[in-house]
Amino acid sequence: MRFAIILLLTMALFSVNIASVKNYFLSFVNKEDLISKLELENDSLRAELYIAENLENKQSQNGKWEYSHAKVFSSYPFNNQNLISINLGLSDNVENHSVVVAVPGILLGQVTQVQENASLVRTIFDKNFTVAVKIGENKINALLKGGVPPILEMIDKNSGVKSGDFAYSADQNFPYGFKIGEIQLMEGDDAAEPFKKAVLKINYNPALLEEVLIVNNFKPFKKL
Amino acid sequence: MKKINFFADIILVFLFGLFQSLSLIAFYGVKPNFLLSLLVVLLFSVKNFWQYLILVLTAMLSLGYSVPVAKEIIVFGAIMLSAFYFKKYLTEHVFLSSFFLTAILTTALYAFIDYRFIFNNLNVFLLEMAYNLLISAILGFLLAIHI
Repeated sequence: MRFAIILLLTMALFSVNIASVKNYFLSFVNKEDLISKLELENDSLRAELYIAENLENKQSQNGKWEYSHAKVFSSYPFNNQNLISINLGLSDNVENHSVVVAVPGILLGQVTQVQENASLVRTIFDKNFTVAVKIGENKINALLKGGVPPILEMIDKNSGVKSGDFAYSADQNFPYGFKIGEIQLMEGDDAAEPFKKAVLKINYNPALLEEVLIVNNFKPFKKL
Repeated sequence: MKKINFFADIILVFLFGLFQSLSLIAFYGVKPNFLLSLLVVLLFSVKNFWQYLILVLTAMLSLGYSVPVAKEIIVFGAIMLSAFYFKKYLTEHVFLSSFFLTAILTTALYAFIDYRFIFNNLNVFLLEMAYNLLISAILGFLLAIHI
């Protein structure tokens, strides 16, 4: 029985973790990772288009940011934090509090610890992650509280925010206009409550992220 | 055969650790602690402290998500090793002892690495506890330990 469990786990790990073996199997059997990557790329393009069409200084946003590609080593194994480890560090000019995105225009988190050849990133799924955001074309203010899934709080009850609206970063510690997710579910119909909450839909599975991007030319105002 | 079983246990621990460090499995956003559950079960099959030490060190190696080794990994290893000495105070009924130990170790882990997490996210903590207990029971059955 031990060896059966070992064999099953090895197959599961190889099918997800080893890129070459995974791609080999993907080409024959499992299309899910490919679909997930295409969905993420689509989300990134939609985010960039949204920024270009709806936000201020749209011409300055296009092509403004420079990125470094980083591989994801592993993630924090317990539930009290949501961190990932990436393969770029001080030797690659990564700085503490550098902004990390899943793909261009989609905010993932912020570097929280830098070593010589690796860094730790606190993601939007971490309970200690907070960022000021705006929602939709009317730029409704809200506060994102990290978690699984992330929650938007302090939404004005009369703001007209609805499902499907984009939430994007509006915090001095992050590039303005980076998409975070879409409103999935509104909460807070209690008349006594002055604010509403919303559950944010994230269009990618963070556990399947193999590569992320670090924004090189953005300097955060202060740490989280 | 016993040596082969112990070697298989080492590989099993390493693979479970890799699995957990990749955070591939989560139910309602909560990750079960597969490694803790497995080590609790294996606690009742190892012959001596040194065998268990090898298993715990293997677990810490496979969990390592940052360099240098994070304090959380060290705390995890220390807690699992301390469980070896508390085993003698437990009942001979393996299932009950595994159940009790899994609950105690899950609580101790978060108490030492971030005690506020237990109070601020009680639902997450209890959900993980439930998963760990279930996994301990299943693993114990699968590894043919009397549960």
